[in-house]
Amino acid sequence: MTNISASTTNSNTAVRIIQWLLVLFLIYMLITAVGMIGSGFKGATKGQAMELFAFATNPFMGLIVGVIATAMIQSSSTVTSIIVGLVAGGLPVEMAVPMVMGANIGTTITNTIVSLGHIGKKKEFRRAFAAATVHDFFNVMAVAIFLPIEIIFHPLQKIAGFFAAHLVGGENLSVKGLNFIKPMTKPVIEEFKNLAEFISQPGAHVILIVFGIFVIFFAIIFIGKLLKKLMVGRAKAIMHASIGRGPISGITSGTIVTVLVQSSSTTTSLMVPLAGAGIFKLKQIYPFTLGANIGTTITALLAATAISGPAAVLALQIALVHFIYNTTAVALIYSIKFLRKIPLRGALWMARVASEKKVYALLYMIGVFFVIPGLMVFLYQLMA
Amino acid sequence: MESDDLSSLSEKKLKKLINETQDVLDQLKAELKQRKLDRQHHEIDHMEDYFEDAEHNLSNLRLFIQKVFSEIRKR
Repeated sequence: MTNISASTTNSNTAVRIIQWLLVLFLIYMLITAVGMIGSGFKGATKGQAMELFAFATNPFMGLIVGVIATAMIQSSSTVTSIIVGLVAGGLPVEMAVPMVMGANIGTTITNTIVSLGHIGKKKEFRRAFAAATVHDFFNVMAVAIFLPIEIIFHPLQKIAGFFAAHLVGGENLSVKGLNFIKPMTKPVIEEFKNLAEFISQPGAHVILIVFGIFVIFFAIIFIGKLLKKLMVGRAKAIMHASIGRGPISGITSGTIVTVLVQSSSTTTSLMVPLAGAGIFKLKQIYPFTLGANIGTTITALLAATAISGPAAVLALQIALVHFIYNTTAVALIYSIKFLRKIPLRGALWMARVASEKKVYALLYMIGVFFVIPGLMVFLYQLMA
Repeated sequence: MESDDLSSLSEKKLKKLINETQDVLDQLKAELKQRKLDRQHHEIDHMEDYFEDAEHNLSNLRLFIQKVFSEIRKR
């Protein structure tokens, strides 16, 4: 009997080691893929990225690109990593900032869809839908506050630029000489480049970008799946520790769980059935959801390590924009009572309306994720 | 307890009863809070199931759209 349990423990350990090695490999592929996008985009635009993305000079267009791209592929980590690669390849940071903000809104569609699973039971649906949409309301409100300020004064871009320059490009704290990522990723990027050139010589750069997007997409999916298995015990311990404590503990646990599973939509979706069943109240779920916003920024920061040379500052700058934006939005909105209550009230109202007439839930989703950003583009063009 | 019974009680007795009732109320509240926390801890222990539930969201969307259309047709 002891032998059997010992061999089971050994095989479990072996499986875990293999899973961890796979995670490391996938992180390596993720970083490599960001490098592929950067390299492909640079080659495809030949320094004319500004012209290629001229349509996104309208910041609301950038916002809608971020919202729709994230809503379609249901992963803000994938979209922000792609954006980091594009910035490294020449996409101006100014154009990328609204895209990152849009990714924040787009990612909330996942837990809203999860809440729709409770449609059969009215009361349950109302609670689940409120738990999901509180994230939407918060993220839309954060964009409504921060985007106009960013368009006029560029504070996020400036602060992130300052830190990025000091971290990877400054005179004193430069880690340029210590960059070990490029030699590690270059051989694989070269292999993909050769493959892209083999498929089509003139379209090689675009093919490289497509390869990069696919690799990021699948790497993030599988990292998430593996980390869910590997980190579930740790995540449980963190959540057990935060139960019955205050909102700061909720925000912290939401941040850590999201970092552990590398997916904000997983963290926020996790809470929806718990809210639907009435086990957790909306007030408890709200800070946890905000923590997910902060935790998800780790992926873009990780992706930024893929870039070396002069573009490294820009790649880190956009990743830091994501981090500073989400942290500041949580700190500002949650610390002011009047602002803090708006997403709660909005979510409760919307959930009540949607539970009475389900068509309103559909209209709400189409409106928030597609129509309102579209209208903003139109209005901005009218004003410009 | 009837109001007639209450009027016959001394103030000292009333205060004593209030304190006792308050203690019972506090105990009941604490018990209720503890049960809620226990339920939350219990559900967190089944986190794996919730991770799985979170992945089946496209079937949720299909089900939801069917329900919306049936609601529209009923009108």
